[in-house]
Amino acid sequence: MTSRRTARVRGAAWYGTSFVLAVIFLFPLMAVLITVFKTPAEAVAVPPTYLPSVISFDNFAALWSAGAGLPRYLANSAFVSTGTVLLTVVLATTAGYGIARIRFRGADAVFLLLLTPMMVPLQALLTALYAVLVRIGLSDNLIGLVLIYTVSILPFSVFVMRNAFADIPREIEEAAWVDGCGVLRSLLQVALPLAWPGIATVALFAFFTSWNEFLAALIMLTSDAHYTVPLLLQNITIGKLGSINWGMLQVGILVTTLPCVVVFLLLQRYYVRGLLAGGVKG
Amino acid sequence: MHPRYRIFSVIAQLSVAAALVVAGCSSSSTPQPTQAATQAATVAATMTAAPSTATTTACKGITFWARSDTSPFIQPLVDAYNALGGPRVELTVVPAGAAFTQKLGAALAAGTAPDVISLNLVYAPYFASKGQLADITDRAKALGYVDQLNASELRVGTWNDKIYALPFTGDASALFYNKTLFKRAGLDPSKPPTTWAEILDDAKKVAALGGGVSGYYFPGSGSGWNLFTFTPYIWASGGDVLTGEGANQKSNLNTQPVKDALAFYRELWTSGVIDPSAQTDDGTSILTLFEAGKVAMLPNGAFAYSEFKSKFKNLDYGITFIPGKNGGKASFAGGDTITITAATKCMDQAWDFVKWTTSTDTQTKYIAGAGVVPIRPDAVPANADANFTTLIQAMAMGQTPKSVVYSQLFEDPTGPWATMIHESVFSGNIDQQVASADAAWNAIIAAGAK
Amino acid sequence: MIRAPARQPGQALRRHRLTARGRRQAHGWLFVLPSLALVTVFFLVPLGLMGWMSLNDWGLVGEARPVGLDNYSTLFADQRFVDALLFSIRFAVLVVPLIMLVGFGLGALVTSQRRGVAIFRSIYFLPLVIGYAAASYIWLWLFNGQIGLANKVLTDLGVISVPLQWFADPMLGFIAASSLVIWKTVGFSMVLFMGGLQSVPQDLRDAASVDGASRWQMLRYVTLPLMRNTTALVFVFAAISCLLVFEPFFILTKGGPGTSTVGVVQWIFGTSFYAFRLGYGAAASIVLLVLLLTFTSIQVRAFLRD
Repeated sequence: MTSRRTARVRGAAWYGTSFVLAVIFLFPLMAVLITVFKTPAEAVAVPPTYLPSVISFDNFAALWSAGAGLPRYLANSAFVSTGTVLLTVVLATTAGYGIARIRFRGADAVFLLLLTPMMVPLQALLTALYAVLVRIGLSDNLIGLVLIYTVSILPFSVFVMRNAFADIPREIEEAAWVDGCGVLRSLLQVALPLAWPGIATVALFAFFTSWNEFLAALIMLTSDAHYTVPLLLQNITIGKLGSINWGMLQVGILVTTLPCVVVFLLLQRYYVRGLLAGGVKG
Repeated sequence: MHPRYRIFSVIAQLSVAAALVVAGCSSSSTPQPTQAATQAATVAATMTAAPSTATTTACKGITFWARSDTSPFIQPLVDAYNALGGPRVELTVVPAGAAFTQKLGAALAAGTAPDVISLNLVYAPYFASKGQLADITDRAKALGYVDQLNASELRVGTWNDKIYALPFTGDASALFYNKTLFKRAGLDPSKPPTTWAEILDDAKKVAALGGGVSGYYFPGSGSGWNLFTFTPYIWASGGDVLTGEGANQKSNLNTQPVKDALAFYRELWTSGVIDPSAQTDDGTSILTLFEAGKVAMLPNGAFAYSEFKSKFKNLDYGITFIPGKNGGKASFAGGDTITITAATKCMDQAWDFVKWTTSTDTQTKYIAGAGVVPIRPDAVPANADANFTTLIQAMAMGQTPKSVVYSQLFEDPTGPWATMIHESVFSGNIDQQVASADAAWNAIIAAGAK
Repeated sequence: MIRAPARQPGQALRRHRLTARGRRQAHGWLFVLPSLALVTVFFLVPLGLMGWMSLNDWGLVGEARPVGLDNYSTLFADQRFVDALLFSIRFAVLVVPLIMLVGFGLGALVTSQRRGVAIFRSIYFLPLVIGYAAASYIWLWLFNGQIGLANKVLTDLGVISVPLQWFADPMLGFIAASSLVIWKTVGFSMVLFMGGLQSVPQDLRDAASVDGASRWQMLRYVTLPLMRNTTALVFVFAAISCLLVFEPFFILTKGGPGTSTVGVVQWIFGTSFYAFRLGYGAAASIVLLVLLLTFTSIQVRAFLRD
């Protein structure tokens, strides 16, 4: 009977802790969600109110029609983010596999080299990067952004995929090789299915990073029709000398966060599937 | 080698070669503005009104950058110009702030800068001194009305006696005061303060009302904001923060008017009439409390005028000039100049647009009509209310510091200007702060003059 | 594993026969080649350009004046740069352990099979989904002295009676910024630790508990050692992101009061964007890169042995 009670106590403790933590984690976002429906005046009330007294959609309307229209910017951001995800997954998977599985001479040096982009802050690299892009002819071009974002998220992605492949026991693959499987087939049919959590992780982070990035987009894009959503938000929320339109800021955060949440919910199935598949025995 | 592997290795070598080629061994053609191609179809021979027909160059369109501060009124202005026929102006609104200059600089360095820029006037000296702006002296003088345009903006747009930028929009600083709070405190809302002593007095009366209401507010951690709103106190008292220009420029901080102004703000703070949040505000929340009706007096900018008009109609407020110690008045003349980049290939068309933006008609309809202070006195609408009229007068008498190291002197939030104000007001060691800021400024100016 | 390719009867020996090892070499390079190409063009080349910039005195526009290694020697004598670097290091030393501990705890929490775990997992992960700048502005708003909810909640709970000015005090500002960084990034560590925990084979755990190992002993002798790769990954990324922290301090405290919360990236930002000394800023970036490269290679060598 004691073990049953211990189990129940443990269960209660687990739920209790998880719940309290969940409230703390959600609080900032909930606060934003509530404030978007306040009128501009109430949004800056002193002292602040918790719930809006009047529901208002003023901020939404302003956001929708700003500049060339929100749908345009959303499409641009979607293009850039999707491209980044695809390119990053392909490159990180191949590179991670190469480094983890195919222990060729120089693998460690290559690994370190692929990690270096994350050690230089983007603000410092931007002017030089812009000069290079202009030379290639990819400035003011969304594809140029895709390439830049991929390079910046590649270190993390290669690391994750390398680890994911390294965790797969060699025996599984060696068995495949004995059976005459070529390297590429071995990757696609044997290793990849076991590395789904890694791929999901890489895809998620590639999406979030590229969706929310501001500074590189600002420097690289010059025509309004190419702008991504973060640029639009900066234009409409930061006013004179840095003064902030708090109401618009909340709406902007809500609108940009929503697609990310959707992507997250979509991809986490693969994540969970990979985890629940039980990983590896023995 | 097994044929399969040979193919792979060939592909590998080709990719490496391609990467090297792309990385810079080739000479790529200078990228044309992508907009130009789409403009080709719209070049019409029929010109109805203003734009001149002087051009014979193959210019298809003009690229025009404006900062986000102008977004309420800039699109209608550009649309109106485009509706007149002739080469199209393609507008891009760029987020304002430090990133704007970085973006512009990167574009200039790479040869992708726009033809025309609505440039914050304080940056004009820097870019002019580096040869990035086109010399429009002769064209400007040929206009015949260049001396009617705002004098301070024009001065800042001039370098080595040549004109590089013309005034485009105005933005003056002035003292905003809440009439409702004034009445509640027993003050006459039609008689705002005209000396520092009166400001202090009125602030105390309002603060005595209690209930979270404060008599005065300013961004204690602000840099650019305080240049905009605090410097006029020094000017109105007969002082200045800088002397000279270019190679002769020197800091003028270690002078009595500056110390007096800091002492004045310190007194406001120690009297408890300023809301405590001023200490950390760098401008992000400067309007918040005033809009909530919790602040009696706030030195503010003309841009707030149109903001209040559209969003805070119930706010009963007045505008008066920022006074000097014993009277007098001053203002910071801000806003955007309009300028043409030196590298432009569309000089005539760009000039046509620039000329049009400074005409009386345009200024009245699209600048003053949008609640923005115009840069010529004959552009004032007939139905201007008292507040707008005050702002226009403030603009006309306004001053602007002119320096090629403007950003480092005034904008850096961790720079000597911001530190001096913050420490003097909230900690009080004014003499020491002023001396060290003065030395730091001279060092920055000397380094920038190299 | 070296295996010679099987030879069929009648097949002539090819002239350039690659051993299996040589084949592996070719494959390995082939697989990493696309990534290498991209990194070369879009990172190494600009980096080289930046290296050239660091040897010049170059403003935003205009001519560049070669100054050799002057920028570097000035850098190390520049007190404000050294202070900024030390601040970033201090911040990392304080916050990285917190991130790892909380991340591990959360990871352990959400590997349970209980009902509802997916919801909790999603909630802890959610902060990652917002941009860093957006999150910083949320914090700026929440901790605002007047309109912020942090003060309101604390007042309503009776913890404080007078609203706090969070960003007027270096300590409070540090706490506010740290809470932001932890909230924002811990989901990442959680997810990585989750993966690591899952990969510890159940048989080993069963064997250990049969042997009478307590939970603590299991953790220390079975779970953690097998999670070396994951721990190294979390550590490296947490450390680098803390050392390169920018938005939280730039937006919340603006580096203030005074310059007490200026980190090295904000220093570089100011040098490039306000002082327009791009050559000088480039030199600082190169120095930072060398430091981080050294740090990472030590970690990679020490932890990642397969």
